[in-house]
Amino acid sequence: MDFSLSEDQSMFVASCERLVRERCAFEPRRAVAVSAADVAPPLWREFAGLGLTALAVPEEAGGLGRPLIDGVLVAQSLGRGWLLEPFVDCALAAASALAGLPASAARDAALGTMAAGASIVVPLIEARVAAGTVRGTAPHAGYADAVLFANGSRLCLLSLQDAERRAWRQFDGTAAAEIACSLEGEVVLAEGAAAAAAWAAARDAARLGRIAEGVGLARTVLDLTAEYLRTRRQFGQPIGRFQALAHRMADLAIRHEQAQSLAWAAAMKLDAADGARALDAAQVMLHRALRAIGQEAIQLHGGIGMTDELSISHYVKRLLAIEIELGDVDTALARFAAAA
Amino acid sequence: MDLNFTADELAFAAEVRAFVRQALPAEIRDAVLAGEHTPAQYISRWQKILHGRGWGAPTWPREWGGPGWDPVRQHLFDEECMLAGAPRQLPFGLRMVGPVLMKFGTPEQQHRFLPRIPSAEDWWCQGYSEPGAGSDLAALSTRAVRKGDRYLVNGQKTWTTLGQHADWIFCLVRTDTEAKKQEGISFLLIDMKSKGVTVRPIVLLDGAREVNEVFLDDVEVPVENLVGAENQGWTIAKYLLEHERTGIANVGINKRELARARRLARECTRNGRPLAEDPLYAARLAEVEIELMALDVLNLRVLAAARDRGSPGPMASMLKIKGSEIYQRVSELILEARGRDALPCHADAQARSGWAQDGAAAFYLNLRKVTIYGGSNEIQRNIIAKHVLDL
Repeated sequence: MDFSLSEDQSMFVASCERLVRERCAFEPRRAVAVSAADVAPPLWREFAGLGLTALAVPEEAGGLGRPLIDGVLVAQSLGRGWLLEPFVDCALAAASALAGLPASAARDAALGTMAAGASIVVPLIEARVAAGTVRGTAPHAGYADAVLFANGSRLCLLSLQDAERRAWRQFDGTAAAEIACSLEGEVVLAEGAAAAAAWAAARDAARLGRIAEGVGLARTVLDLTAEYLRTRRQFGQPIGRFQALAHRMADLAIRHEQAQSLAWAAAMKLDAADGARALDAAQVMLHRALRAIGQEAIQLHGGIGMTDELSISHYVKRLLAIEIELGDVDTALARFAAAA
Repeated sequence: MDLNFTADELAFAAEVRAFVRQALPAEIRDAVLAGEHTPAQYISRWQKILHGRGWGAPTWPREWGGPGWDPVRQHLFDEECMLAGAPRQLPFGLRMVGPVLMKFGTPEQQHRFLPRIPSAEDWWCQGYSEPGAGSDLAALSTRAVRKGDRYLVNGQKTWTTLGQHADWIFCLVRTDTEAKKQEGISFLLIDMKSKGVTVRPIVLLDGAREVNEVFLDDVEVPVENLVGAENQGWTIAKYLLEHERTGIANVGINKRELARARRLARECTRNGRPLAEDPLYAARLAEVEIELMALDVLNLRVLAAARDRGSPGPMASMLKIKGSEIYQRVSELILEARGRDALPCHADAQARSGWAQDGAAAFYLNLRKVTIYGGSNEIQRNIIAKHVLDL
């Protein structure tokens, strides 16, 4: 049992932290969050330069072939700076799905360009296929080059070059789009059990990555709130000295540690017999943590926490969107309970 | 990063499991697994069995007759014992005065007292809290005045757990009334058979007789029973509290009791169906299990830090808070599973154990203590706020 990071992991985490520090200050991030939703965010090239887009791509396909826990650590580090790039959906989810498939020209080509940061592929989770067209909504679909989707029992890759798109921003600033695209260029990557397994890998990696992103951003929110409690003075002293506030911060810190613990555990257990249950547990715990941290961060900041001007309000919105993107927490809890 | 135990660690756990299964007497196991209070003689008996195997002091170094296990192995040992239904080993000698004597005791004190702890020859109790000094421990007022080669001790200790069985009590006493309150305290070992020591039980809300008041009236204590230097007691007290906090997560006990709740939920019915199938109950059970899973991993993280860096640090306060809260929530689940069956007071069980009434209500009520003792959860939050969050 070992909780220390390997040399590779430390290196990835350090470069992500540097990127966040140097390029993801609040104002530049906010500029991205209000920019056109059909233009790829500017840092994606830098992600590629750091090898982040190649993380989950197998070595034989031009990637780094790192285990999912590395992706989780990276998502957590990137999450600290308000992640607006499709790291989770493309570099973790889509790449994990393709990585599990046997080598083929289409799969290898897609993975190769993804690893290089030259193309963005995202899963279209709730795709509707009818009359030779696939429709659906997904984060980052406004500028994605291709989507991965389940067409019956087949796993398909489809270029979005000629797609109709309606791109918008979610309330938290994340770009999303509704797309409609002819199936003419559809490439079938896998069928039957292989397709189901690859699709499950995409969904699991997406959930895990989003959970990790939430753990990272919640850390930032906690740090900012603690800093505020140390500096904001009322009644002649820093308000963090008041036990009524300090104890609530302590509870939030505990919740955060719990969520982080289960995120890591889920990443390492995903292939085990109880892997699905560990992932559900991680989602439930994250949900509880994000609700508490988001709500309390605003309350502990007081009125200033309500303002658009302060970073806190934007980060809290992203925490809320992560909860929603992860899907219904009651369903996860019921699944966890039923699998006891 | 690797969350799995090593093959060696798993083999170790299997060895412990096999031993406990074979060595733990059935009547002790059955009482523990039924959630009954463990009578004092069961605790001593099990302690002697472990001592016979060389495992009487699982947290001690080899130098003092311990097995020299690292924190991960200590955790695995505890978990295997708890899951199998073994009584909890008493912490007062093993986790409190033992480590204090190893660090601060004279060679004479070490050789006199340490060997008698794992063998269950000496039963220790803790003389810390006083009526006027609870969370604010340094406010204690029990007075020790040196008269030649003895101290004359006067005062009152309280909440003395299982003091009615104790041979010895380690006490914080005030030896300097002029100094700052933390600086006038000393650490004394007092023979419970001394003249002037009176133990009076405090009956708790569940009928339990596990805590006592200890009155000290002109008790004469030889100066060789002073541990460390005079007025060094606060340093020793803090060292002791740090040791008390390792193993505080109670992961093993929580797993055992959650399994009991789950078992009861399958056996009990609600509205004509097994309670376990009630979606609201199942959801609450699931929430607690998820909390426990998180505690388990968090505990391993703290253990790994303790193994690699030598100290669990202030994160241990998180373990205390969650471990105790989960324990209480499990007791609620058990109480609710029992429904009206929790109402009768089992006087016969009380007569049998000589300790407490039995049943889910008693269990629930008794466990109110866990968020109070060992540094109340509010004190733990103060520690987190100060030492983790720098507030």
